Amino acid sequence: MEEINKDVIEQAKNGDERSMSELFQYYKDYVMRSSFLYLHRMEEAEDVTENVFFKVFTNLKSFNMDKDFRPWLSRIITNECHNYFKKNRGDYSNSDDMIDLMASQDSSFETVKLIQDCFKQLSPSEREILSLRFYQELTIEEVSNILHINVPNVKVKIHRSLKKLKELVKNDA
Amino acid sequence: MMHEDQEIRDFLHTSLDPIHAHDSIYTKVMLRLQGNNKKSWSFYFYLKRIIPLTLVLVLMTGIVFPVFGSEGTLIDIYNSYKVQRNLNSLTDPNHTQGENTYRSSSIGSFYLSTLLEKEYGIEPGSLLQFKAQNPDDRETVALIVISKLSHQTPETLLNLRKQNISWGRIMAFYQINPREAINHFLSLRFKIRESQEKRFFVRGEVDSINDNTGIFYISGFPIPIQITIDTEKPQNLGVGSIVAAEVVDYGDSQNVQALQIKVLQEESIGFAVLRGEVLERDENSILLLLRDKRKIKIQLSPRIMNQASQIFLRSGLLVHVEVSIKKNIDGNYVAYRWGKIVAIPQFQRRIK
Repeated sequence: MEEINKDVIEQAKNGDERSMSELFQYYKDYVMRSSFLYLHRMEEAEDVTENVFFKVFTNLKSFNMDKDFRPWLSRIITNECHNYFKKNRGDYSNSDDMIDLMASQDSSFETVKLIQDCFKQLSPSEREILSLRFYQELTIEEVSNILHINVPNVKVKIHRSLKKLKELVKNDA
Repeated sequence: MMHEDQEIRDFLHTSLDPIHAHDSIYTKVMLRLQGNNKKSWSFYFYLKRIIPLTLVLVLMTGIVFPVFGSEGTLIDIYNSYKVQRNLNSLTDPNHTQGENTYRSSSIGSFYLSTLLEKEYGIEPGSLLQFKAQNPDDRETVALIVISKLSHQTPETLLNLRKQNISWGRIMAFYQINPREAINHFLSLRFKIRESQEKRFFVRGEVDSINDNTGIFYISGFPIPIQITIDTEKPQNLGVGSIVAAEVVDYGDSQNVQALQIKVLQEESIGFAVLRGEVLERDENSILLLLRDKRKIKIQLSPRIMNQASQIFLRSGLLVHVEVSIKKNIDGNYVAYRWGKIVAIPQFQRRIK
């Protein structure tokens, strides 16, 4: 995913509502999907998306324009998901939102369902690191900064999470 | 590996593709932002504008107007506090650490009185009179010092103090710089604390005397006074004598040493019954018009000034007074002990 034009961020920073709307339109699905990947429920993902954009707009003035916007946004998403997960320590494993969604859309439903089921069996931290790396497409360094762990550790965690996902897929298949 | 990475990436993108955020989220966010702005506006407005403004207004009002009643303005209160703090340090017991506090406070009180007599030219009689009305030495010191600075009589200030008017307000009224008053207090404190030997006067009636040890006690002064070989002992010194003794305290003995003893020459008139009209009455004397038309002025000794019975002695009143009277060297009558005071009933006044 490409970065949004910095002028839009600059204008949103100054309170321009059109730019804020543009910023929202550009990143809304990205935020929603990232949240969903972590929480696995549509309703919760929507709440988190709302919170993320609220935080983005209230803290936009502190954003350093010399840096990329997406890692900053990813950090907010991760923190909000963490907070949401802490507040609602309910069991998300019974959620079938994703599967229902797939079933209504895709022809290769069986494959998607299989991988998605396996994805759900991963721990939240494993889902988080895979989401950051493979969906949000952040670099290892960016993931390291967001999760406050060093780069080799990030690599190890990604490797282990992927290995576990593969084993789960292999077993289920 | 790279191939696998791409696979998982593609899978995630494909599987999440159907997920879209509703535009209503944007509306919710904007509404929350507006609410937040309102809250922060009111928060900042009240906290950063109204509250400091109110505080400033209260402070300014307090500084300009005497909103604290007899305490005066805020500045007066602060000045009163400064004065009181410095007065307290005059009789601070901390500097007498290791000494007998009762002994040092007794000596301190007499020493302070002597200092006030010497430094501010106060008559011993007047000082006793103030002390009779203000048992607190610190109050007496403030009275003397501030009366000198304000060029007012101590009686004037005493009346103001009786109306609970603070020192800060009195100083503001007479335009006295508190620093000036405090410097006087500090100077007195320095003398009290730093003097190795304290010379002071003790006046009063001799309560007891031991000729063998050369020790005598003066009424109202609890420390024994030692007559040394260098002291010139008056021939007529005895129990009941009215004396003025200059004594010295070196701080290393239970006694104080007498440097000079002067027996005040007084002619004992003895017990007398006076019947007459009170013509004048001031703080320490009365002027009586006797039945034989003689006018006599009777000074009230410090001892009887604290007695409640003396409040009957108002000018214009016919009284029947039984007093123990002595005549002092100046020819004045001094009343030392009251018998009783009887106000003569109205019908007897008409007969007279």
